[in-house]
Amino acid sequence: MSTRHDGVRTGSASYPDPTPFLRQASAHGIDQAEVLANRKTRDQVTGIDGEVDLALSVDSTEVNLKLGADGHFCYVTAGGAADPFAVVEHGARLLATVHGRSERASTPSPHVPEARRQSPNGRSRRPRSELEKLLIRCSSNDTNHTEIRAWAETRSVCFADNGGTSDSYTDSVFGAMVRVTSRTATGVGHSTQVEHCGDENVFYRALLPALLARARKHARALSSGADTITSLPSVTVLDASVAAHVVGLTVESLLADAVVQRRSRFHGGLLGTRVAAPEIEMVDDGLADGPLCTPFDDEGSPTVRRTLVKGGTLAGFLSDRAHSSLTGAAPGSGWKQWTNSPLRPGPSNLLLSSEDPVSVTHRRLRIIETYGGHTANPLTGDFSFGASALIEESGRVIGPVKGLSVAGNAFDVLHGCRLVQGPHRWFSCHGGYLGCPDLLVEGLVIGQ
Amino acid sequence: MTHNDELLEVGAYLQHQLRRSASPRWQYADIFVERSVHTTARQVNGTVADANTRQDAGAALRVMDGWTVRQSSFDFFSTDASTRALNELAAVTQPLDGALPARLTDSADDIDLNGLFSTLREVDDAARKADPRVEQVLIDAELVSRSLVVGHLDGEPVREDRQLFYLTIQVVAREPGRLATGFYTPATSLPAQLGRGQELGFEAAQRAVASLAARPAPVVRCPVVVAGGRGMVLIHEACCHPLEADEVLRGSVYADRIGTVLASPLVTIVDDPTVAGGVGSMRVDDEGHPAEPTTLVEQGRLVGVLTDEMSARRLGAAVTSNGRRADYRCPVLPRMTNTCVAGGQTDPLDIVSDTEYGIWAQHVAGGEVVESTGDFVFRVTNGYLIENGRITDPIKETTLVGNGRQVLLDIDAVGTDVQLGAAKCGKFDQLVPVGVQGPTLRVRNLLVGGTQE
Repeated sequence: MSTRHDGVRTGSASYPDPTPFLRQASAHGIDQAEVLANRKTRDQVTGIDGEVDLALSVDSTEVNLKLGADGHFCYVTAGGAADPFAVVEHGARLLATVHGRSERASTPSPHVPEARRQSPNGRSRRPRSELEKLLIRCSSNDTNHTEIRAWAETRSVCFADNGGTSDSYTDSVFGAMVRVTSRTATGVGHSTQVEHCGDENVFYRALLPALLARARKHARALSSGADTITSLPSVTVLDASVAAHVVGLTVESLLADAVVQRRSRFHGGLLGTRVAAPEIEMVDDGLADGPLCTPFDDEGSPTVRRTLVKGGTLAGFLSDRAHSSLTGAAPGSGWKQWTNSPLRPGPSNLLLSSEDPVSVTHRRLRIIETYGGHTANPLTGDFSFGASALIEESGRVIGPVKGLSVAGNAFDVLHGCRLVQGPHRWFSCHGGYLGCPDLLVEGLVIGQ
Repeated sequence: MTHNDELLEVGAYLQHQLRRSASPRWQYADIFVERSVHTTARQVNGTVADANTRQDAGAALRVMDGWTVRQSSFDFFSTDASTRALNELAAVTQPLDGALPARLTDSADDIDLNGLFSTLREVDDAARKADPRVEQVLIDAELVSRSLVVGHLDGEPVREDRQLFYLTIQVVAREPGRLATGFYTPATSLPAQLGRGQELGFEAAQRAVASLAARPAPVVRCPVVVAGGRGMVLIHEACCHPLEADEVLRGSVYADRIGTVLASPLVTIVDDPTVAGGVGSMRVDDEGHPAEPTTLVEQGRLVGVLTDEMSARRLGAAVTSNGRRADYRCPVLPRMTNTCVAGGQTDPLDIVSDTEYGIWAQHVAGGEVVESTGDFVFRVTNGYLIENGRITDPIKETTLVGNGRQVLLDIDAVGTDVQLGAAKCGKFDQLVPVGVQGPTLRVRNLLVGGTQE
């Protein structure tokens, strides 16, 4: 018999009610049922050369149902208005099909400790019209072609299981992509800058203006006198956005499922071995000062602070519950990376840091723009991408270099890099975020 | 009532509401209703590690108000959501005319899970049996069924059904001191045509094992022979992205080049959404236009661009059937469907034997282009050196770097061996399947971004 879901819960929570789904699962006699229900509202505005090109609002709901029996699991995702009977029925069928194939273990769903339940940054957002006005202002008054794509997304999340656990939070993330093209008599320069943050005031007052200034500076520099420099400096610095691409390739190996599935370079008991330069640390924390503020992950486990690399040695992995007992890593990093993907380990706010960052003043090749970074091989760490760069010295731009190929291995880069003094910036990484500063690197092969 | 009837009913309802709210300022308006079932599975260590099904349904209302596109997307959580969506677009304050049909998300699709898992097993078995050095086989399967209804201020709504079966196979091969991967993405919009699991697994394993013997790729500018099928990612990046009308409006490298010679006279490029089995194939696009081929380059001359409704109006160009969105939450963009390069006159073996030194790009992965400059890259996953007209040593994965303006003119040989391949293309965070079809090509001069100086 079908039981129709009536709609949103009243009060402050706006996510779909998980109760009817859990009730249906119980009626099916399913051992373990968990629901992650959420509602996302997203505003996105594109401003091009002083005009609003696109104003988009999205209001969508989602129920993620995880069903388990005898250590085997399946996932069903549906819109918030879906019929719980039909969803659970389908899940039960999927579970029956998977049953007997999967050998996954699981730990029980822990309650979120009160101490971790800080007040999230889920305050109400500014109206979209304010963003439209800002983008009109920021993308105009410039001789270059300027396009700004900015978005604000709020997610209200509820986790509940048939063991009685229930908790919720609301979180907002803000991001922007700025594309500037500068055309001069000597050439065309282009820059694309993307960055994220979790604070709306920071986004409006600092992040967006900084992105715009950086993109304009890069585009202007790349449009002037390009291709005239033949001798490249021996010192190479990766801009934070490029560094995040490269370091991001190593993150796959820090995920517990990759270790279990032998896709990780670090599988086979490498904890405690040197994987990076001695001063490097990599720490993941869902409640740190990054774009996300999530007291629990997408399977209800608290987002503990997790040190992955300490003093250059491998100290841990990011894990969900299914891979926790197989790797010894605590759960709390199980995320649905994309709308249609199953839950798997991933970072939340993963920060690359060093207690001893260096200052670079001598002549250097500073790689500022890349293309094709996504085609690299995360398993071997080998990468090779197209790039544009500036030759800089003592804070001054000597000239641009375009049409480069930059090749190397991300794991080697991690071993031989130094973090450059300056702020870190936050970039998308495996469905979460990676905070990264500029990197001074060795061993790259530059083709021209 | 069938699911398709329900979809049309919801479409007609939203179309009616949009018509009631229409403003003279609107240059264009449409409604888009979508229902989809998206099944994914990951096979690893010889077993299904994850299986996930997503049932989704939602709608987008969109207007072009002056030169600004306003879109409001929502799922069928409540009638309130659609009221809010319409109010945002039209500042309408009166209540909606009738209640929103809410049956859309009830799904009764019969997904052949046993068939899917059986295919994954076959691929896995074949890959492991192909060579003892195969250590791991990772298969990500994606089975997508989408039903759409698109309606405008005038006329009846149109309906479209699409299917996609996409496998991403990665094989890891290992021998002492060496690790290599093989990458293969067989896919089709006609799931019955995917091919036998044994063949797919064997092919992926061969690619991994061949890479074990690979030596570092050189850093060199040299001729590159690109194999047909997925190799046409070269054309997808070097030529077609900058010909998407939104990029033309941004001043892409080919803006204002219509009618001029862009490429070698050997090159003819058509975007064709009607290719049987092509993963970018469709009957109507996401704006309701009947799917038709669009010629972009005819014997080297640029003759067309790819448009959607909005970019066509802004550009003053004809609308082609290239308006695509990943789902109802996303804005429509002008996108490629299946990029087709016409076959030439030269035997592909002759192209290799006619090359004194160069690279043979047998299998390629993705790429990327900077539309404003034409700078592009694409990844070669299985490549070989060509020496004295013969294919010799395999080289490690590498990237080829070039600029579209020069590379298209530098195509100096086009083979007869037209093949169809599949890829996924990302643009502004929207990933859509795209077909690539074409023969073996040779580019006279590309930068090989290797590690052997």
